[in-house]
Amino acid sequence: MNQTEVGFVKSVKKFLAHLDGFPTVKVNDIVENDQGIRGWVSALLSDCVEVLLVDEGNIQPGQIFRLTGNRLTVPVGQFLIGRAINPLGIPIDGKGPISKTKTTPELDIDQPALGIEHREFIATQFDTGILLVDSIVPLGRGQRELILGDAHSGKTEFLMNTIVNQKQTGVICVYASIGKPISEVRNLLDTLKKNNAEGHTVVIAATSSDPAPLIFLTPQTAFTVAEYFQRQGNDVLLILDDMGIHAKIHREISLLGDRPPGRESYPGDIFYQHAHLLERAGNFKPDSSRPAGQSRRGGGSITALPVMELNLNDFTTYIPTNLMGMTDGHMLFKSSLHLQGQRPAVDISLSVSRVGSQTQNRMHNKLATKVKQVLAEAAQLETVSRFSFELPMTTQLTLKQKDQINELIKHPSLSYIPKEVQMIILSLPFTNFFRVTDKDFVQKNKDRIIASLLIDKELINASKMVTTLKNEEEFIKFVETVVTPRLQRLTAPPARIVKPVAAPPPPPVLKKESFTDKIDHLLHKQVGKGGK
Amino acid sequence: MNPKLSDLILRSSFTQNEAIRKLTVLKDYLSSKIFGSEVTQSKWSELLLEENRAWFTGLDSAFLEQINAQNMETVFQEALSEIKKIEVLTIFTAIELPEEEVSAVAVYLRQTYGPNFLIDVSIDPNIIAGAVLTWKGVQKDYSLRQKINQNRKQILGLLAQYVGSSHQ
Repeated sequence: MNQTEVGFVKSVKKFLAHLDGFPTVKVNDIVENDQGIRGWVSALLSDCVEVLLVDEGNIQPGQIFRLTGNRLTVPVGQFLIGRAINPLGIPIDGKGPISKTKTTPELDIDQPALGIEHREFIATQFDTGILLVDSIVPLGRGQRELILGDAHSGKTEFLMNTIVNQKQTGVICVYASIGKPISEVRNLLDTLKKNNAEGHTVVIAATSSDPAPLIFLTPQTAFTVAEYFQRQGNDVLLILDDMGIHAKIHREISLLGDRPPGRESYPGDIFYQHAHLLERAGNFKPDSSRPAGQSRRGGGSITALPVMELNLNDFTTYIPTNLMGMTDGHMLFKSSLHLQGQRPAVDISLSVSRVGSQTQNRMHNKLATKVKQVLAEAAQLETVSRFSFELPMTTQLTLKQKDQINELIKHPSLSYIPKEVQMIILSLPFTNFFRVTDKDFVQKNKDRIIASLLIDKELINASKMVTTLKNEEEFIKFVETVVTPRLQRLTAPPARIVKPVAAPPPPPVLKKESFTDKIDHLLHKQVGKGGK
Repeated sequence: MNPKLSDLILRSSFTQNEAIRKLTVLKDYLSSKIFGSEVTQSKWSELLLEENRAWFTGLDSAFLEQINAQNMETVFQEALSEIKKIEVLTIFTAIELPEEEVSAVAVYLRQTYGPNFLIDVSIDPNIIAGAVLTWKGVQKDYSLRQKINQNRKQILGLLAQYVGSSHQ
């Protein structure tokens, strides 16, 4: 005799079913009917059980669902690296089934965030390899930074660049694609493959054509996978793209379930849904509960980058302000800057990182502060400069430095710049070398300068010494002495090759006429005339 | 009076659908009698289907006289909610059982577990034989399908042995 708990369908609304039965069911238990259609228990009401269906199919009142005994879990392991799965752990990349065994752990996707006693101060910088971010809006390992921006402002490009650059740092990347079109997910997978980024990336994707409950589960699964790698002692980058769609899906499910709508028709627990997710990120202590002698696990970090696409004319709406309140800073991407060629198109004046500066190298921090001061001063002076014909030298210099800095922070696509090289680049506008050049010079020679800083052995050795310097004056002096001479030679215009021209014939040597010769000459002239 | 109406209905009904159907028939008759033209029980029974006639004519007319225009709606609402509150035992069988068999099962259950017991018989050929019982959200599988699944390995082993020996 086999005993299971069952429930009968009382009513169905699209992906939401109310079932009668299941005396001991718990929230997040999985139920399944005879056709294999699965659902998960989302609420226990007074007279029925609310189930969200994750598979599509024909559900009718009176159908019977059985309790499977499973909860919402996802299999985790090293086999996930390089794979793309859906929120239930089913592969979607066409590379065959995932290689899990009977001993593969299956983790609950809805886990509570660890408490304060398990966390550590965020002290290590997260390297994106992008000059603007690492210098001016730095991130720390374990930080949560919101990526805000309007459509076509380069957010995805920035995220791809960051993922590809983690090849250099050993950070594992988990990318959650929440409700995006299938074509975008395909492009994402192809880009990762093309740039050899699959070897350190896991993709969790629910496309826009998947049932809403499946899309809703995506960030939870992504966090579970990230936590698995973090507990192995790894640093993890988790990207949630995008949380605006997640909020809309939650709203759709709640309205269908007759929950009372709140502000902008979002359900009352929308803040809780996002906050309890984002709290799972952080910098964690090693697991001190393991006995002595066993290798200490844990101690990794999860750096979360939730993304939100919105209309930048008004980013004070409900969801963006919620997300800003639960993250450690935000980066604002603008499509206008993107069209002007600034990549990443981050508006520095409106972006903030509340935790990053404590992780930044002291010298890097000072240089970045100097750059920010120049940019702020230039913003004020630009208005004044429109009304003056002749600007003082200091104003002209500041405006020129601002143009040069704006050129230098434009990042070449899918490239990685180490922090030491970034420091040198940031200091260049304050050197005499750049003082006599202009924006066009920087535009023409920036790529060569960066390439030489990455390839030239002498410059590489020089860049390794920069962290030993004490203050920015010493730094700039060091750059002037060691770095700029090589850069000057590199960027000097090439010498013109002149064709050898035939030497002109020597001028005729004029005999000096004597006095008698002059008289004779004159007389001959007179005779010539008289003869006629 | 209120429990009496549901008791009256349940006395001759073994399934929830049957009980609700009888309640509807009775309500139609009483609505016509109280609010429409004067009609007798025997005349009304001629209009009913065969399956409802015997039960309807056997109803206690003195009891029906107690239901009037003021209390009719309340009485029927309460009777309906009483019937719906009763947990139904769902029995899945592989074939359709004759009505006498169903009645015999229902009578046995009422003798064992009390008078207010309703059953619902559904057909599921996939169980092959036996029955699957569902009561208050718990399902107990006494079917042949479940037995085969339980002993799958042994059965396949025996079959393999048999096929092997027959080839020899």
